[in-house]
Amino acid sequence: MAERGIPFRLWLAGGWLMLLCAAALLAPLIAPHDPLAQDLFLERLPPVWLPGSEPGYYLGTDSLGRDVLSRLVYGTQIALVVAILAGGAACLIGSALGLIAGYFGGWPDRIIGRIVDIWMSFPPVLFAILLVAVLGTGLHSVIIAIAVIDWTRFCRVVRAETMTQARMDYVDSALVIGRSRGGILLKEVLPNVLPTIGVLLSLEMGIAVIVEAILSFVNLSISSDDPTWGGMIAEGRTQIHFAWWVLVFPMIVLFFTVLSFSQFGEGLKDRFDPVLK
Amino acid sequence: MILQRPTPHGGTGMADLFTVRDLHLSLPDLNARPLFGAAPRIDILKGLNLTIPAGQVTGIVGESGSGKSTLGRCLIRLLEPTGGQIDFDGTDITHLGPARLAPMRRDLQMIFQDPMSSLNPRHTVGRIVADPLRVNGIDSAEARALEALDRVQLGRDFAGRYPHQLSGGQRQRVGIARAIALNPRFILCDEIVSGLDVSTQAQIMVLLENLVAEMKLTMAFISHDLSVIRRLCDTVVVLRAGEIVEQGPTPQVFDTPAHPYTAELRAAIPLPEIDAGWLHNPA
Amino acid sequence: MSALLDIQGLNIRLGRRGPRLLRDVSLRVQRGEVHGLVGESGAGKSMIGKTIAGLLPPTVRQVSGTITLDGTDLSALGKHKRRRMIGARTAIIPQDPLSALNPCRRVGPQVTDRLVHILGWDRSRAEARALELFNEVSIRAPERVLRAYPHELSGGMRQRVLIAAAFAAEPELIIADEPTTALDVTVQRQILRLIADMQARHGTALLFVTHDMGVVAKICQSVSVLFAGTVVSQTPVEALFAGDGGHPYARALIQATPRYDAPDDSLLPVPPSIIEGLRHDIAAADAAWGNGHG
Repeated sequence: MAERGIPFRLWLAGGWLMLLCAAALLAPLIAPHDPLAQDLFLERLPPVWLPGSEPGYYLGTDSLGRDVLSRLVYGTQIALVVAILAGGAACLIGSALGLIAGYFGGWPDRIIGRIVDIWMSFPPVLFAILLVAVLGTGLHSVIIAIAVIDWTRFCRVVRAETMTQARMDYVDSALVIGRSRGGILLKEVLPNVLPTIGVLLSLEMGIAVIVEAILSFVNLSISSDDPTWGGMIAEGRTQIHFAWWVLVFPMIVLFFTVLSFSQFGEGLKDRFDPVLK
Repeated sequence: MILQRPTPHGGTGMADLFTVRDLHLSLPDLNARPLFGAAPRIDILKGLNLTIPAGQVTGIVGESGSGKSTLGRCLIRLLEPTGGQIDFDGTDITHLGPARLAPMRRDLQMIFQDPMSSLNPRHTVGRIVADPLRVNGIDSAEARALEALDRVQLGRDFAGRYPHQLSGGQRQRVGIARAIALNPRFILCDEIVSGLDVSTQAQIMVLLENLVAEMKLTMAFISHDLSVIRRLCDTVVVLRAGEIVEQGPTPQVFDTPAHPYTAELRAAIPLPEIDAGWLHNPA
Repeated sequence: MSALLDIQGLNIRLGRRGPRLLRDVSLRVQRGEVHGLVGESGAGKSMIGKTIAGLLPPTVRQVSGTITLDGTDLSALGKHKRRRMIGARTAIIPQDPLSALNPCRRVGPQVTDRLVHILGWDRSRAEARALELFNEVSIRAPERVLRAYPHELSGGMRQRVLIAAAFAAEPELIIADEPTTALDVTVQRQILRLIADMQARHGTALLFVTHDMGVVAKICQSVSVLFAGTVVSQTPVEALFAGDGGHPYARALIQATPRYDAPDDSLLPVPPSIIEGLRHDIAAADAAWGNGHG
């Protein structure tokens, strides 16, 4: 089979995510200003290409005179930490339970299935707000809340996929050659479910970023001084008529990030799954 | 070709590798499940008695719903019978648990009908054939796997390919290589040529015949096609709706069928020759 | 009298620049005959049926060739007229009787739809016709079957329903796409007998797609053998099965078919020299064709 090139959307999505990672890791070097430094003389400066701007404040400033670009760059750190930790935790819990339910069936499946049903009958955002209210605000409660709520996404899809795979003859043939049931689950079934998990994880990272933004928006994430994209959007909303840039830039960044996560997962699967070649 | 192995039964002449007595299997009918209580059970196998002689190929023939695949899967204990007894080489394996079965697994192999779904799509051919050897703790698994690929005339450069890169016939050769690599005492073949084109089917049958002769394999060969059974099998068991209709040496069953159902099955086969009366003459 | 179906120089390719799936296929089906279309998987036998019915997937293109049905060149007709003509004068007996019937609708309307929509009959007349046909294919309790859902019928019964549906509008040509492949041998024999009886009684021509030389011998009067999208042999069945007519590949397919009455003289692999010869001819033809079509 001929090697295919890397598709355009994978380049684009991967490029954006790399840029974000770089921004997060090198924030102190990249950000032109301290993201928390307020300066009331510099409040609501427009982006540099508009009249009335100050050099050095590329994307303008907010109502407290804080540099929008610097806050975006530092916000990336929080967004990515949430995406990786919350997405990863939801993925681990959900996939493990989904694999068990789908492969073993019977009472493990019934118990896990009931829990998922109950879980999914709570409205997710309200559930998250409730959880954070109970756990107290802060980054760790946001991460825990997202993982605790969103594992069901993984569980349902992974269970269905595992059931399909477990009916294939190669599972029987692994039994015939003498593999144990656990061995079959890990060595035969899991690799076939892994691409699906990968796509889901990538989607979930995007969702985690959104949920974090929502929680920041309702002021339930970390302290409102800390630069988060959701917090910036919440702040920008109140000043949309005087300083649109405070709202628009974080929204653009958020949009591209969520889109990139979903495209990245699908793109990776298309490109590297040996079965699709 | 008879394997000379001592058996507890000490039978003279031909030793029976399998002895099956009054085999029953029923499954719950989940479609007819009432709101409360257990689902009614459907009898798939209704008291089968048969033996599978060592060193021979036993054909199991029947139409869909006859229970032929279920019988096969009971023999290698992918299914647990609900009644009766299966002796494998003198050991009662009817209700053995996974732990007790584990050491016997390498002797009870199977080749599947659909080579695509029976080969893990994410493993290379080399790994698919070598895995059974590794799992069973056999040294130099890779070298033996390559040997097995040679035996099925695939060639060693196939080891690096994935199942979806192969044709149907090549995939079935991989399935055969995986089964024979362990040098098992019994191989179950479940409709292994029915999904293949006739020309491929002919090649696989020739390969199987050669392997049976060279390796003195003991096989159960399940098929709906009497013509294929006639070519390969020494004895044949005819199943209908979970019961044995007739069994005996292949030439005898084919030339002088004792049961009208066997005769009907035989007559229903469209032979590739002009026969104006075939469509309308009763069997 | 000219042939009922006359296909000349049909070329089908995948996409604009892809490989040819059918290569210069020419094929004639006479009125009232059963014409077998035999080949192994991927030889293009179902593709021919799809092309006639105008059911090619959008990725596949007809590059050249004519299909003439009863003297009318189908390619000259507009898309809409072509559909109507195909719908009124041909029918299909599909391979999988389960997926051919919509599980959410009763059997009756699915059988009468064609009569109502294409021939413009009213429902009651169409239903009477369906009952008549159900009787003819020996369906017991035809009224009940008319009102049943597909899943309430057995596999053999569904196939009978589809056969009745195919003959209901008295088409001149029926394309039977491996109608017995999924069936047990004893059921297959009943269905083959039924198709042959219906065909003889209605005088319909049948294009019978199959991979089984045994079935060809029993039901067809003439046969085309396909290899890699090429018709390699087109003969009356007597000539082919007498052992001297037709292409060596066609005869080799017969020899490869297992037979219980001659276990050692059947199941013979096709000699590689025949396959190589065919491949060589096809490569040469492709090269010549490619010069004209890029």
